[in-house]
Amino acid sequence: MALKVETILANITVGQYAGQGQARTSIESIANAARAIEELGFDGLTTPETGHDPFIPLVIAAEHTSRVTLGTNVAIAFPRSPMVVAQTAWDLQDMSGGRFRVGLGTQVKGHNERRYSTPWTGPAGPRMREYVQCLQAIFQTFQNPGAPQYFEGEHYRFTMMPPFFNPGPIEHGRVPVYISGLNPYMARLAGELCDGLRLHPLATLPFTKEVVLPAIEAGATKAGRKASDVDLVGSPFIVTGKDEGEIEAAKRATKQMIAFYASTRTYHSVLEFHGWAEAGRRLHQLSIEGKWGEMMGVVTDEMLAEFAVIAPYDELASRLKERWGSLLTTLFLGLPPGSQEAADIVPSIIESLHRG
Amino acid sequence: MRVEVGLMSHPFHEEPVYPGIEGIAEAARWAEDTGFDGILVPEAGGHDPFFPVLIAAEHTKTIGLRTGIAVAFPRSPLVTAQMAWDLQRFSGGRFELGLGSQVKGQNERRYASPWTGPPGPRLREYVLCLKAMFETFQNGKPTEFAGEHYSFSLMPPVFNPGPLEHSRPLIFVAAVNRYISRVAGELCDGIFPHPVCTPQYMREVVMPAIESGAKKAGRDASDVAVLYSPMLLTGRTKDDIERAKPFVKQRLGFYASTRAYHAPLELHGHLEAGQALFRLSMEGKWGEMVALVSDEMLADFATVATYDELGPALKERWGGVASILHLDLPADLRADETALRRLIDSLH
Repeated sequence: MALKVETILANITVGQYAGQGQARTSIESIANAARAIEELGFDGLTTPETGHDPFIPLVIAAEHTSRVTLGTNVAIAFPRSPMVVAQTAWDLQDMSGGRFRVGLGTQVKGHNERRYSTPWTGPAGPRMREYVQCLQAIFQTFQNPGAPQYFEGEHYRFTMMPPFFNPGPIEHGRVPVYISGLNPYMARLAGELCDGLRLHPLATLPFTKEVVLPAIEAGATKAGRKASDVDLVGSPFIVTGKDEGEIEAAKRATKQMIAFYASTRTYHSVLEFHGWAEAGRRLHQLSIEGKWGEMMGVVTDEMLAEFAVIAPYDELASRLKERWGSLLTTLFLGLPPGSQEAADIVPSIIESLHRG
Repeated sequence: MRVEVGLMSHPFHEEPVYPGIEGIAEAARWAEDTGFDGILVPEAGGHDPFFPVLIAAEHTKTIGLRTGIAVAFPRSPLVTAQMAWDLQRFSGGRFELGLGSQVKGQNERRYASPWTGPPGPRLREYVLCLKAMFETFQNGKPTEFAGEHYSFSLMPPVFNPGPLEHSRPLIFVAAVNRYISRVAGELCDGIFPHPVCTPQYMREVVMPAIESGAKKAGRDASDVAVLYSPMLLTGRTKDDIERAKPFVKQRLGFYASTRAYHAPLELHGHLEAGQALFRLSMEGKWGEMVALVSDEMLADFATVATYDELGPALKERWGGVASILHLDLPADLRADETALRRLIDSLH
């Protein structure tokens, strides 16, 4: 099956996971990166929320590109009220001529409460479901000011829209909503209400087939939709390079990223599914002790092979298609940052993935 | 006085049209080329208040940039801190963050955002929490904050945007009543009194509260900039002013329908009108408000002058009170470069 291919606008370098801080960026560098992504042939670019606002780079990208889709990957939902996200998404959709896809995630309790200074009002899944419903009601009210759609839930209530505050209809007034996750609740929610599901990088192929897809189908059936209405975006870890030496270096870097993610208990369902629950507990303990440097040692070669697609550049597209081609509709492909080599090989990989 | 301007004329003057990226860029260059000192972006009309600041930063070089205001509580302090930090970096240190509480009904019913207690103490904590986050961004080491409404105690390095070359964004808060005016005096770099605050109300209520807040913190009231956005009833001729009257009355009627803004109305003897307007707002009868705003009430709250007389009229009314004036100008005055330069010069 043909795959659409997305990448990340602001590259996260591996070193940041070991605590070396964020890359400094400017408007000009964001604009250049966005243009380069479009020129390489990507279908979409996305932004993470890692210490920076995730929407701002997309405004710059909207201005400096004309074709690629623009998505947050992902914006943390609960620290922003639904109206805040709705206004922002509406402006971005308008500015980009309909290229925006709002991508939302829950983050975990500790980060919401202790980093974002945002109350955790109950289990993330049901709250996210209400959040999406509220957001979609607001979008409908923006598009049809004469017939406001209100929403009243347990966590969110939207019951008023004076005309002065309604931005009014836009040309592409149906803003696609994506959520991120890997657990069955989020997958069902995506099937029921959303336009896309952004799989967490830890979602392995067996887990996606046996846990995620059935949940998307259950949600879709409940809502009278089809699972294929949901754009399933996968972002498997990719270990690649031009030769064995580069691949070995990439393996170490990828183990470090896997260790970082797998230390978070929210994602332990995948580890348990594969019989790696003990590794998950150790990683969690090391993260609490701040021993970030010791964590990659916990990730075995066997784990790496399940989480990552490992191939030299010239075989990467075919390996990705073999493993993921029949499951995903969109593939997230992280670019090796800023290398000329990447610019030389990426267009052919994208073309191959497009051919299916 | 510094003179600032918006990127478009006010929605109350005419049908608002969102200008898009090109329109915002063009308006920002216009503001800088015309000689304004700053650009102010409100959170109005259901639009994001930060995007126009970003686009203006890209397309200008020296002009100041601010939100005036962004509604605080629907955004967690970290969401606002990240945004302000990015805008300060991208603008080369030209961004100032204006925050306001909005009222209970708008927070709960429009923003779908809980109202966890009186807005003053909550906004005070919000500012303290923001400052702790800014320090953490600048210094790497977490500066923690623990309050009743907000707390901040986690910042892994991967999520820290890192230090700025410039100072942190200055913080302004929107105020009508004493509590937040005191918070401005105690903690903030500036105050943005609501347009219903008249010069008399500023002298009798807001300024003394700023002083008491400043004193508490061992600061001077003059450390707090006063940014004011006067309601203008203006036109090229007296006839134009007459034609603009219903629009300004609509705007004043809308403000005066909000009970949180009734203190200045009461000072000027218009509390009864305010209460009647509040009842209309409850019934959604926005169109009937104009009739309840008398000419006398309008004269108390608006600066009334033709374009030629506007500079002197503003100086007379606001000199000695405001240090920054944001002018919300009709479209035909925005298009008259000569008149604008004269106006800016006279206020400088």
